[in-house]
Amino acid sequence: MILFDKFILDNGLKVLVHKDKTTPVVAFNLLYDVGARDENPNRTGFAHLFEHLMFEGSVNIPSYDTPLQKAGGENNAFTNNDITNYYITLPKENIETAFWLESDRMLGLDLTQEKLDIQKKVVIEEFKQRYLNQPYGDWNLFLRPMAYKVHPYRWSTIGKEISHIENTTLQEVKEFFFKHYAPNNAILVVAGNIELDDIKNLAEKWFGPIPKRDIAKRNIPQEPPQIEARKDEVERPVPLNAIYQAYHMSAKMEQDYYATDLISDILSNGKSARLMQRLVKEQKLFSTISAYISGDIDAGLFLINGNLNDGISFEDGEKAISIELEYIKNETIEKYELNKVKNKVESTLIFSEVSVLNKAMNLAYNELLGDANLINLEADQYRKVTVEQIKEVANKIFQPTNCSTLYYKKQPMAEINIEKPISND
Amino acid sequence: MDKLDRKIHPEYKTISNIVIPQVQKIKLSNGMPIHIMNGGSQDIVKIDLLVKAGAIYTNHKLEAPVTSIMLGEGTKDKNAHEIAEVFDYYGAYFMPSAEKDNAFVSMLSLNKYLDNTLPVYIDALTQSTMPQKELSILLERRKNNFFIESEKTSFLAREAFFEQLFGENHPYGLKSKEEHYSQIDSNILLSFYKEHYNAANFELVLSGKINEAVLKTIDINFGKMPFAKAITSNKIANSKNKKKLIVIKKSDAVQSSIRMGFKTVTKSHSDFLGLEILVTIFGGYFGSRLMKNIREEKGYTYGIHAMLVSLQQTGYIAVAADVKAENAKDAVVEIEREIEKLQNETISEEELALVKNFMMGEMLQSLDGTLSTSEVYKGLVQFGYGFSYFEKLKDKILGITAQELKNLANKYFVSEEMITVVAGKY
Repeated sequence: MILFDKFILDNGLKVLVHKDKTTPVVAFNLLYDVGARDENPNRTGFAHLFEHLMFEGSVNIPSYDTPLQKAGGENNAFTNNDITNYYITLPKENIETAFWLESDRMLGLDLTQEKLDIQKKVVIEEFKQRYLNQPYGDWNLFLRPMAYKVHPYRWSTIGKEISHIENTTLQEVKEFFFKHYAPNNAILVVAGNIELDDIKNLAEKWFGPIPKRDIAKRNIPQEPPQIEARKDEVERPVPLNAIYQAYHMSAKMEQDYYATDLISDILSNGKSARLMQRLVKEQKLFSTISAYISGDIDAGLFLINGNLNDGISFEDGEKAISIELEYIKNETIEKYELNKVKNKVESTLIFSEVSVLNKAMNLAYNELLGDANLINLEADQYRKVTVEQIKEVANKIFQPTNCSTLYYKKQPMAEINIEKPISND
Repeated sequence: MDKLDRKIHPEYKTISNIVIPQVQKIKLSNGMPIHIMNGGSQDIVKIDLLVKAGAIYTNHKLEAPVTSIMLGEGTKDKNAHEIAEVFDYYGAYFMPSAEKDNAFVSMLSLNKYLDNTLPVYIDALTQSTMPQKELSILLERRKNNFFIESEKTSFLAREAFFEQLFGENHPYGLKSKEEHYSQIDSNILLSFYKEHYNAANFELVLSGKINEAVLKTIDINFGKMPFAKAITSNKIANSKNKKKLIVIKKSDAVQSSIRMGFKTVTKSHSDFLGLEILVTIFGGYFGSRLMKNIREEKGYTYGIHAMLVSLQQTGYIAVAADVKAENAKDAVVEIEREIEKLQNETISEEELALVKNFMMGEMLQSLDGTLSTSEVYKGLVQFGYGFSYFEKLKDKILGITAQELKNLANKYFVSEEMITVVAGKY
């Protein structure tokens, strides 16, 4: 049970406070309700590029990182399809430094063309490092636009293509800031060995004076049901053929979400799971295979990825996956197996609550979903899922017409040449 | 009320004191040493069993890591599936791994299921049969993974770097090769397993909620284990390197992976503490010299880091970055320039004060929560240290001077011994 207090400033900033006496560290987590789904289709990757610019100094403070390091703090941030989340951990004595820094960059940034140009370069290298200079790194750049035709989930957080990042202007960055970075579009969580009254005073002092802004109501086109099987293929210099499948599933707050997550666990959470035991170990069709859900707030994806062993055809691999999905659709799962995956959900939740920063992040995210207390109800939501629901949800999702399949085909790999060492002997 | 001045950093304290977690050291019935860190807010138990069974004791790249992974793949009583089933059913994580010096057989379990999970952990640890059937599948999968890794410039650079740094025949420097995957069989692993996986080579670190009941369960399961012969590593001469540049060309690379560094002293050397601070300044945090120069000023990379690592026989300093292919040469020049700056210019008081505060905060933060604390302790216990090492580091951080750091840079950043590897384009 994670206990917390909540208050809202006049400008709309929601603040949650969680007390944990066991740690010397305070976690300060500020979530902005903006992600890649809020981007203009011609400026994909923008929310993430913007996150980088948040570290380039604000109206009153030329460097974000230096004062924090002086106060013994560390920070980072991440952007996904739904949110942008900034977090700091620091010694509890220095908590005010976090309020000072975060409130100033909510107030305004100190942007210049030069800073933008440098961060464009950095983000382009991040794009290459994670997606282009890795075998199979780009699969999701192909699969997303197959599964989504309308919803902005059709592009990745890093962006659809490098040119979108390159073409970003300073004016667009400024507009994005005013559109999304307002107190009434953010959730702050402070967790650690702290007192509620102190946090109230600090929040009022540093965030209170920041004016509320009009935040346009989100109006995202929802993806219509998929009614035909979609197939595509791509060739790349990789050692093994691979299959990527995406099935549409429910949104985060729909009841089916929990059963769907448990289905992915039945298939592939842990070594005892079905796909590992049957398709990897018994039938030796795949070298690796996994099933998981994207976990997005809007209707998301149920994903199955597998690397085929040498000599196994795409058709045979795909057929084996489909047989496993048919089992779940047609045969009632044993209570034992359902309990197993529920137990694992429970323990994973408990393990994740060991770190004060994780607790702060999870509280912020659940508050965004509607109520931070959802965090304390989550294990029960999973416990309540019945064997019948598993079957019912599997039948809804695992229809060939609901699926996008990408064949990732191997082609000859580039030569690797180790040149004669150059040494000065 | 005074008007808020947002330009001024609100009052903050420099950290001069760190509350070090209490560690209780006891011996089980059979004399096996255990270290206990009782605490945290969750009812969990983490077991980290240090085993003298790392790569250093072998001459084959796969012997140590594959033996550790095979622990859970079959025993006299249970097959691989049955073992996995128990850990999964009780939501536990069984995590065996072997590194260059030691293996760790770790398990994370909820307290309430420890009576169910621990016997299976013990069975896997002590009764493994290393079945050939499971081994063949594992080796095939690892070989496939090796082929995939070999397509990554970062992997190519790392492997070549260690080979050059430690020598192609030293267990620290062995490179992965395709034929390795057909040279290992169940008998080879069994003999390594019998020699190393016994109580004489064990040291147990326990963390989480450790009450009397847990200790009793632990003693019942570990306290009867027989001691065989303790292992010592055959010390191998620590030869000096000569400056060398290795270029691995991969024509389709869009980035080049750089690894640069040199051998240095181990954690037991009195200069090691000072080097931890020097390497932090150089490339150990977001505001480091390397990050400022190569990422924040030039935009050549998403990230560049320098690390100081101690192994049992030697230590090393390494710089790692994936950079824009066209800028690889310039990045190497800039890294060398940053080394020279540390050798020739005295670090400013302001930068030194910042790094001191940052490192004190980092130490404090590394002790947040059971899991993080036990990770830190694992890194110390391998060298026979406890948290007293942290006390020494704290004193060093607070006391070190700019001149001392400059001396260290001149003594240990030996450019005549530097290995540079670039994989990708150059």
